[in-house]
Amino acid sequence: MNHHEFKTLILPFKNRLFRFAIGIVGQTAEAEDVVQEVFIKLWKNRQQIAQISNVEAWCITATKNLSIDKLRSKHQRMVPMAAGFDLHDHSATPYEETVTHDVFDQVRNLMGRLPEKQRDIMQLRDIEGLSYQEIAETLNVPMDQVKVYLFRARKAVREGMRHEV
Amino acid sequence: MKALIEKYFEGETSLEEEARLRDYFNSGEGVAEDLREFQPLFQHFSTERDRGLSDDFDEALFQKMDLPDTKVVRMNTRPRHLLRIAAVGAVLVGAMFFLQKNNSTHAQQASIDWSKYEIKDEKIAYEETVKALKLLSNKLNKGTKRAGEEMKELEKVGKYFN
Repeated sequence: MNHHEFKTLILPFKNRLFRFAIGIVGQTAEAEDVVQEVFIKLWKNRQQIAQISNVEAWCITATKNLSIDKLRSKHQRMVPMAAGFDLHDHSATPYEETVTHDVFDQVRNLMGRLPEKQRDIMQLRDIEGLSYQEIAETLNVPMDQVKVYLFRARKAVREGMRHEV
Repeated sequence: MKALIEKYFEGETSLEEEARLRDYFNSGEGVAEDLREFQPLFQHFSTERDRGLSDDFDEALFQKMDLPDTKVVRMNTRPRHLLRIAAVGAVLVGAMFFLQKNNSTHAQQASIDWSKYEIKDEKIAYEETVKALKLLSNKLNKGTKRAGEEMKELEKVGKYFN
């Protein structure tokens, strides 16, 4: 694999991986570091890429593991992580920021506080738009379980919104 | 739309229906009053979908991708042991060389006929013996001092191996 192939085959996953990392580490700068490390790791082992059946799923798993490592190395716990989220949308206009910042933070925090599997599945479905089949393959979870986790995640977020509004 | 939202929370919506929900809540003014509470959720999904890495990510990545692995090379146990073995070997070789040299001096000395130089007078013999012992003691002291200096030097060198 050369740079050009890497650019066309692997690099298109970058934003999805970035968003997935944000869902775990909370900080955009750290999420960017995670994605970079995952890609460098894959590049260094490019001879083995052909043996990976689903490269995107491999990347998501690597992103997840590395994000968790980053969190652990910072001695941050998973539960209060949402409080430290720095996900200000810098591209929004000042008006949009004022209106949406608080409510978006609330939704992010609710999702961030979900149990790991529920959070990952809700992220892949509602933000990344993956099918149940794709989620099942990516996270190595049976498809019927994916539906159950998603149902629980959405229910928890709905209840959370009711309580906090 | 309300029925679709309920379907969403039941986990029964298709990807297309979920896209319809996002479009509906992002349209802004058209959202029914009783559905406003769900607006932040679907707006959040849309905003997150647009979130991406900074423009300079690719360039920084490709620069780092081809850098050689920067591993810190530490002297682990094996080279240290090897160095110790090498140091002991060097000392042994040095000692052998020194002994051999001494032995050869001895061999040369053995061929000298000392009986010619033997002192007959007891007093002179006593004085000569005292003189010889003093010289020996002096040399031995010098040797100890030198050995001490050598040890200090060795300690200095040894620091680099620890």
